[in-house]
Amino acid sequence: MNYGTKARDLLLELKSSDFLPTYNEEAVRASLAEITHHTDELTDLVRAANRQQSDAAEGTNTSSSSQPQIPIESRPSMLLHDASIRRNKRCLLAYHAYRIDKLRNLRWETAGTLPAHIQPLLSEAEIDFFRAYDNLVTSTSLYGLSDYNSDMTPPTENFVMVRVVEGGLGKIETEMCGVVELEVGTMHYLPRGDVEGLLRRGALVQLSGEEC
Amino acid sequence: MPSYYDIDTILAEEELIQIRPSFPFSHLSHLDPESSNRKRRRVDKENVGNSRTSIRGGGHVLEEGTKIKMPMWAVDRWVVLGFVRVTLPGIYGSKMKERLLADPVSVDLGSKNSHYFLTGLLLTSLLQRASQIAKRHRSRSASSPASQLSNLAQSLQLSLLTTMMGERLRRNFDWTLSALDAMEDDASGHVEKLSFLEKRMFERGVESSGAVVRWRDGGCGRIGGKGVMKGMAA
Repeated sequence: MNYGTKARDLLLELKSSDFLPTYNEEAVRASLAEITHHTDELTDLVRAANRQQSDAAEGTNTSSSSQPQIPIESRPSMLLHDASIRRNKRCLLAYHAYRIDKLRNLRWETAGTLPAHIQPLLSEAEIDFFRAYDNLVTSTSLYGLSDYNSDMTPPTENFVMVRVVEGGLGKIETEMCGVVELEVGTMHYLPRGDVEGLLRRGALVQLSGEEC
Repeated sequence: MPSYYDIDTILAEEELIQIRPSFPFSHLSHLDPESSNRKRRRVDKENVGNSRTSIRGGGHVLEEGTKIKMPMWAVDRWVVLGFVRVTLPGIYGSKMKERLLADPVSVDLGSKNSHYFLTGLLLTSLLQRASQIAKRHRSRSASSPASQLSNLAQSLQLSLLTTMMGERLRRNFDWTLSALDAMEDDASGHVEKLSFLEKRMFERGVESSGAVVRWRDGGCGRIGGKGVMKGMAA
């Protein structure tokens, strides 16, 4: 019996990947086609069973007002088609829910920037979702409720020691320290709020007290 | 019960269960790999012109008592409604129970079924539901399928609890204490034999061990106000 195998394979792909596998549109379409097939089969079985009962009722001249009973021999196949439809649906929903959760978390980690190496793994709808979610968070921040992009972790100090690991950053202007040249390999003691975005991007690395 | 979207629960329901129909099932002969051979022999014997045989109720029939294996999710309703008789999978059978009683630590649950405990939990729940439904219909049947199902569920439940909470758990926790020191002990051989649940417990245990070590290295100190709070107070 190979019911639900494509949908199951989608979930196995998720389990075996580090972050997200490439969106498997072919398997998703195959699962949807299987759902349609089972729906059609189930409809045919129910019609055939009802027709059979109606013919039997006419033959014995019984009242047609009573609800026709589906023969017990026919019920297991109907239940199996129904179970297959629900199974495929559940697998598809779980597959998409997992991917959407990953994208939501990614938005908070990257402050709305979709990394270039992640984009080829996503479907068009997922890319649209990421952008729409980012717009939603940004617009909520703009209403003055809170700046959600400001701190990755609960802040403990106003200043942080950082090392520059990415080239080409040039100079940044800070409120308290003036203009700072960010050359690769240099260390600086800067206001946390001014470098939060670069830390999140990975251009700067925060140093603990032992590394200074 | 686990979430509807939980992937491990969904995969755990893929475990194959051996069942036997309690009456002929129409339209489902394709589930029995041997049925097509039987049909061919019947066709040759009866010299029927077309290929369709044994039509009853409008379709090909899966005969009563035919042994077939199907995923747990596919037979859930059949078991609950009493349409089939269930045999536990081999990994939950008597031989496996004896092996687990004799030497629980050496059994490689990871290769037999990575979701051993979760599948067992779902199977127990299925059997209990079927038993409750069968109890409501006990006046209609001379035999007692309800008690059989209930006994099966209890036996499986006891086996799972004994396996999970016994020597395997103790050995798992022992390994979490020494797993951080890769020079002294290599835990990979132990981890390979673990089921998915046990591996997660092992990983949490290792994290906890690391946290204890870091806390111990941190030593004692005075709790003071952080710069951010002082800045806000000023």
